[in-house]
Order: sequence, then C-alpha cells, then structure tokens
Amino acid sequence: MDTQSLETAFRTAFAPLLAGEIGEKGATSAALLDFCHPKGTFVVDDLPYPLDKTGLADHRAFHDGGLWSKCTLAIVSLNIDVHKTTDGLSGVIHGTYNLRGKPTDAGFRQRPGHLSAMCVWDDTAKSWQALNIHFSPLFAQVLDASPS
Amino acid sequence: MDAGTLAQAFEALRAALAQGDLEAFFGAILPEAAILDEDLPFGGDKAAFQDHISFHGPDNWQGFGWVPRDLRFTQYAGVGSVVGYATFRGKPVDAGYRIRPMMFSQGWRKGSDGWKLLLWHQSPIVGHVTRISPA
Repeated sequence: MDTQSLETAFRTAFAPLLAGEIGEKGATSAALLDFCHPKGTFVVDDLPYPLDKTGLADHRAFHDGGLWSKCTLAIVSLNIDVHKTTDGLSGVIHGTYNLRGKPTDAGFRQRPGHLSAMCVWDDTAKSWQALNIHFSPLFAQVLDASPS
Repeated sequence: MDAGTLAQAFEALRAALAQGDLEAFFGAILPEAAILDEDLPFGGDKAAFQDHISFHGPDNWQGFGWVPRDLRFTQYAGVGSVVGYATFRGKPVDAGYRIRPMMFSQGWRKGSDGWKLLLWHQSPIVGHVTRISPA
C-alpha cells in the first residue's frame, strides 16, 4: 500500500462532500463512516468536544438531513505520508480546506480550516481506516494568538 | 526491546515538555512529522515546530505549561491515536497571563525505536464554537 491508495481512500470517504452532493442531491456520509475505525475519535469543526464513531454518525446525520441546499468540501492542499510500523502501515493525512455552501434559507457560508487524519492499514479488511480525524477552523489559529 | 505502551510514550512527551527537556521532547517526534499548531494558520514539519518553539522561549515567556486532560488512546497494528483536551497556560513577559483551551489529535507509529510522534494537530476551542451556525 502506498500514498496513492491512502489518498484514494480519503477522497472516497469524502466523495459526497467533495462533489457537493450533500444537500438537495440527498447524499449521505455513509462512506465517511466506513473510513472511520470503530474505536476512532473524531474532532469536527463545529463542536467543542471529540466524538466517537456513533457521535460522528449522529452529527453527520444532522448535517445531511436537509439543512443544506448544497455543501462542498473544497480541498486546498493535501499531504499524504505512509510509514511502516512494527505490525503494519500507518498513514498521515493533513492539509487545508474550505467548507462552503448554502444552508437552506440562509445566504452562504465559508469555513476554511486545517484537516488531519491518522490512519492504519487494516490487513484483514484490506482497507485504510482512520483512528482519528480532526477538522478545525483556521480563524481560531490567528484569533487571540498573541498577548499584545 | 520493550517499546513500552502508547500511554507511556505520551506521558514521556508531556513530562519532557513540562520539565523543559527539549532534547527528550523533540527526540519523541519524527523528522517527517506534521505539526498543525494552535497559533499558526499553516502546517509545518518538525524543523518548523522547533523554530516556533524557540520563538516561544524565555525572551517571550516567564513560564508556560501544556496541560492535557480527558485523553482517549487507541492503537491498532502499530499505529496509535491520542485525542483529548489541552490547555496552554502561562505568563508572557511584560503581560498578565494567558490561557488557551483547545482540543488536540496526535498520531504515533510504533517502530524498532518505540513509539514516535508523526502527527500533532491542535485547535483552540473558541474556533469550534464561534459562528458555527447560520441562524
């Protein structure tokens, strides 16, 4: 397994968001949940606490449930790295994104941020799985970053 | 070689930073690690992180601490994840004090040299609650 296979797994997981199909086109986050390890932990851009996989599924169902006319994850930069471990392969993904779209009955929204994911190759399932995924809004990285 | 547990590796990293043992602290981080720090709008590697930590040295801080809490450890096939809350807190030189509560996610890999850090993403909680809704 190489970096290309990991990038493909990542883009497959986020395909409905990347294609702007969350919203009126009725896509769901099922592929993202398939990418998430059952014991993984996930930090989303709009909640102040980490989620387990069940919590992530509930949060994505909220966003997938007709609140958006259209919502798109625009990837600005993406870095992929694969390393051997004592027992398999690890995969690191990090980059920047712009989460943008039109909420139903509201103008439009843009939320640029950092993204990262720590992944493991599951040799039994023959697939990459994310042990953690972290999305964070960029403006907090610069808001109040200095004491003076 | 007993590589120890992921929790032990994390604790060693935390303790090294708390004690100002930067050799041990940076020794736990692989050169190719990706660092998305809480006070920069762009990512960096270990070298950039070392430069950034140098900036946050004695000239600018009389003292600061990184205090992690509510940790969630997961590992599978030699890959480790640590996710939790953390607070940067301390006293800048010539200014009152600072507290920055945040969430963080780390990725570790287990090799012949033990557990080493490959990914560290930190984000202030204020960003996860401010302007999150359109209505």
